[in-house]
Amino acid sequence: MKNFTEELGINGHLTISKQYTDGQEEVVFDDHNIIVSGMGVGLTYMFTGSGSNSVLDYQIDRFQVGVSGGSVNEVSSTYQLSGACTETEYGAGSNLFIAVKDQITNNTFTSLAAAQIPANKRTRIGDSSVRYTLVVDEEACNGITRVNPMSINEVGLLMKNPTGNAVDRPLLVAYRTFSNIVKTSDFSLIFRWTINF
Amino acid sequence: MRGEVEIWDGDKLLHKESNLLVDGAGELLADIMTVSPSLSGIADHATSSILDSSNYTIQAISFGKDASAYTLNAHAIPEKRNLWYNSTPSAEDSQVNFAYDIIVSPCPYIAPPPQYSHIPSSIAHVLSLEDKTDSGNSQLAMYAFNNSNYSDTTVSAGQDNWICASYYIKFPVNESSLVPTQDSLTTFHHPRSHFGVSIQGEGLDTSIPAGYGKLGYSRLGTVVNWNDVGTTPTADGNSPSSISFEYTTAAKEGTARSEGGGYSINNWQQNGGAYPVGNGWYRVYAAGLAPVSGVSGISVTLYPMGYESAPVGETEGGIYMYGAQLELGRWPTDMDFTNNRRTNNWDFSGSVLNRDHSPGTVTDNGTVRVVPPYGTSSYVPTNYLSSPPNPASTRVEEGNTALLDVSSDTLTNFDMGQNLNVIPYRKNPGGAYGVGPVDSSQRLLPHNVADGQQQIDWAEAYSPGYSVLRDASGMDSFGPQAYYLGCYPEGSSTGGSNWALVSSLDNSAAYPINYVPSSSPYFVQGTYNSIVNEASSMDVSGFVNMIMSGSPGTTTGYAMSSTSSGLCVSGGIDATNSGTVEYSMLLGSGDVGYSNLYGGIYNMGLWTIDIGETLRAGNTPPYSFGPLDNPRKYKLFSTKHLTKNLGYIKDNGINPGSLNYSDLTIKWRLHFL
Repeated sequence: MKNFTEELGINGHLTISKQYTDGQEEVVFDDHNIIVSGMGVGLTYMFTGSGSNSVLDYQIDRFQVGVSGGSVNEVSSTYQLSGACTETEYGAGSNLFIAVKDQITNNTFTSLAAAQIPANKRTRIGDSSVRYTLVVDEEACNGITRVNPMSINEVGLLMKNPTGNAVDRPLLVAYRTFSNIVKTSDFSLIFRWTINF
Repeated sequence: MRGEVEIWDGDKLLHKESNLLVDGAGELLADIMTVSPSLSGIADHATSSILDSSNYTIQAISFGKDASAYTLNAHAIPEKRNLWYNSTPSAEDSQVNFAYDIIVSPCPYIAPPPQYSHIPSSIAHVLSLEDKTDSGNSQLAMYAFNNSNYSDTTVSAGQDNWICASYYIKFPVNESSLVPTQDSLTTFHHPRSHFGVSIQGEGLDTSIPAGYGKLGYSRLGTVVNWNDVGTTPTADGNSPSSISFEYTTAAKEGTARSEGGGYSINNWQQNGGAYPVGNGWYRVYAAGLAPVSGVSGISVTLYPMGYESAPVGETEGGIYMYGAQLELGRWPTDMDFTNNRRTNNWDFSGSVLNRDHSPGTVTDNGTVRVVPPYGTSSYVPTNYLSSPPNPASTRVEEGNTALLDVSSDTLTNFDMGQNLNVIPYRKNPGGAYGVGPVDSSQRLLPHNVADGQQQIDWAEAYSPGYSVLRDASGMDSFGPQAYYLGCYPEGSSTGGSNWALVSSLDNSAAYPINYVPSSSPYFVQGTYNSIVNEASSMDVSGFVNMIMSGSPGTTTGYAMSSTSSGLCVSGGIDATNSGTVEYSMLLGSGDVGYSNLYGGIYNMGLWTIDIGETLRAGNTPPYSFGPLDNPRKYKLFSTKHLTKNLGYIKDNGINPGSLNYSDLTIKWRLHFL
């Protein structure tokens, strides 16, 4: 039986590019994404009137990158990144605005860091399509070494605060793993993520 | 999203099928994701209210049927509305009389009212009515019903119906000799055009002077007083300065209608007025109630020119005239041009929309009549295929659902793709004398605005400026309902709505004078009561409002509120919720039965608020739902097309099916997981 996301046609497409300081851009990933069950949970809160009273709380306004992605996580039941970057790992010199919040994770809460997506990077490109442009700049996510030098290989989009809690409680709504990318200060990573509702 | 619709009759499941999510659902979610957060920083309450999440959820449900059904079933009216043999009375015959020294001349070179500029002069053209002397009361008289060569009707055909006569007129005829001259007698020297309507029935007492209404005789008239032509004219002489009625004491000789054994009315609640249609043309009309005893003759006499006062009486002058129309109802409708067309009983057989508002009995909200299949007491509507399910749909029925004549500009705005609610309306002529929005093409009236005093009260309540006009039915005033639109009955507290299954609409016997159930010719009749109108949960356009029960987020075991109050919502309240949202409403037996008379229910839709359209319409949040004046514009979210009419019912033994409707519960579930 088709689920909500399939029948409604919510799907997404992710393109990842390396952008070097000389302006050259190299596409390193171009594929569909996974809309996870959090999207349905968030929208249920909204349509039943049991969540936040502000429509802004249902917007996708933050993202996470991580280091432990694997194909096993590319399922709709995924509710958090396998190895989400910590606030420190995002990098102190980065332009990213990082906030650590209690993320809704399988009916519990996990304190996790996420990067804000500025409003001007959330662009409506069609009647029912929205593009999120996520920029992991040159100074972000470099030299992540939890045990050994680690690569970035997963990314997720989060809904702001669907339950309407006084302090934001984000919820993962879209996810994707990709091939290992060792982030350095030589380039920025540009994630162009289009969600078709 | 996986969605499904269930229809329940008590504990019996009638239907369970998947729904279709349309593009509007995706657009809504994209709207949600891209609302500007900067709005939250604006102190203005209306602006910040745009961010209220309730503006982005399901807010209404509506019902409909195939497009063709909107001109069939109880929606149908005779196409031949004009009962005159000729709508351009350019020559005398036994139906048209040029009395005294009136000169009637075809003027095809004069532009007709703008909306008829495309009509060939062979179909209709302008006439000039010239009164060149001060002697005699020159007049153009037209007759109906009195000559079998021109009509094939019986006296009972028009009885007890409202009958409306109308013309388009323009003043003055552009010849200097025909323009009333200024003089020194007065500064208020109004020329006037006047037409009177006499409706005669059986039992006419000829001993009573013709100047009064009496048993078997309805007399009424509308006078257009043009601006003064005295020594100091204060305004353009081509425009009316006022409208007045004549013969308002026409019931002087007794209580005419009650003597006729039928209904009684307090006065001659005639209706009439004039409204501008452009290029100096005005449509003037007079409408009155035909005698209960039948209609043996109707005469309409147009006096092109006289003086209102000081001096009273005759003067020379002339007007242009176009488009004579005589029709059932209280208001003139769009022109139906005739050229030597005989009328018959069928043309008189049904008042507008097969429903008449019984005179004098305010609580009778009209009886809708339809013809069931032979030998049955259950109406089976005529339907064709609905538009196919289409993800690009923006309404529940894609075809043209305008009522009546789809080419009529009057009715264009009622092509909404769904069943409308029961709403009396009239076309709004707008213009300088309008008491409503000038640009509005229709004016909706509250239910049961039934007589002159009610219309005064209502108009004064809603338009302070109206008081200067005062007349019950003066220029551009409100009046009793023009048409009923819609497919849902009144609520029980307002008496419900009557219906009847009859043997034929082409038979005046279907319209008895004295409605007595035990002796009526109806197969079966009754009164349907609406749940949605009783709760005022449906607006005039047929949208049933979504209601919330308390605070879903804080109510333990959050459950539906009363489904008789509107569209209810229920769902989980925690992060492990089932991902299911259930909408439910109770479609009352009366709503189902009454809708069936108008073609049944085959389609339905769930709607969200279209924020963009609502804002562009000048409505700012918060959007409070109102049944008569709903500020919300809706966007279709999902639809369901059924292959079986929800109103289908059949007789059960000796029990008429049309009396056996039961409440239906509609459950519409959206599965978000």
